[in-house]
Amino acid sequence: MPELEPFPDLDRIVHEPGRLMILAILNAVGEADFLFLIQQTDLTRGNLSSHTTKLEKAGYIEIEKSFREKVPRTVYRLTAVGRSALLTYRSRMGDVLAAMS
Amino acid sequence: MQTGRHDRSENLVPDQLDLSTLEKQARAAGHRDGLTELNAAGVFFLFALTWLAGPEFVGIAAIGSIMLFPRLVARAKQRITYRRIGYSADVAEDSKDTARGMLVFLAGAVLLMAAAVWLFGDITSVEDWRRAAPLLAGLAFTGGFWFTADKSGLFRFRLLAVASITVGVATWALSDGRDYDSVGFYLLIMGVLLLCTGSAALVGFMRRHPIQDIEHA
Repeated sequence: MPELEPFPDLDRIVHEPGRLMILAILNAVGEADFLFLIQQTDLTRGNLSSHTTKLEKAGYIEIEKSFREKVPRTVYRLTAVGRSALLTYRSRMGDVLAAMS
Repeated sequence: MQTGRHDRSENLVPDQLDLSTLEKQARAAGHRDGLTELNAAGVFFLFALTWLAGPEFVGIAAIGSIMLFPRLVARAKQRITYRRIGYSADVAEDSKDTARGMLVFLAGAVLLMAAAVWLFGDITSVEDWRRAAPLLAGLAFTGGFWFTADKSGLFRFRLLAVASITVGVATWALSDGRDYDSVGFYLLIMGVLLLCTGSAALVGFMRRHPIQDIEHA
């Protein structure tokens, strides 16, 4: 029976495609609001809210709610922990894919 | 509440996501409104007019550029861009990297020019350096446009890079070396090009992206 190489643990918070997109976009632009993330990810509003809540609980993003000219505004920002988690995930995912090929 | 929007993440696995393209598109979004070019056009025009009036007035242009144009662009982004595609921060590193790229490009160009003049001409000739001034300006801004093209993925910045070197060469060839007016002409011509590309981009952007009436989370 062939030995199975133990794959490194992948961060399940980051591993979900919707959250991965959110983290990648925030890594690229620094910070963005709700409308920007909706437009870039094509997620539904409910899914985006759900994913950002999970990311905030994990400490990967910060969420700032405010008002601009009486219009509610939500801005998302990647934390240092989140950036580190994203980079670590990309590195490990690269190893996993290389091992599979 | 479902909006009928297709959630593309439902059918994806992470290795199918092209993160590099996603990140590039996110960065490019901030440049699609054409305001980058319109801002640059304003700066170029201001410097061109003050340069041609007399290089001693360039300080006024610098103050105007630093104080006035960033506020105008920020206001335009709030009224036009963010209401259509949402808000994203201008990544500060881009500006520093652009400036660094331009300086490296310019340093390289100066070294090249000095080598060429040393081999084929007189390095102490002020006239030769005056003639070369618009070419050096063109080379420096080519670096900035090329860098912006790389970061944003927008082809029109590559065209502006090519235009910058072309206009720099043309004004260098037409300069008689008696004064630095050719630099002012370079800035004026590039300002016109930036105004055209920026305006076209802005009109296209506003047509493609209607104002969104979306509730925030």
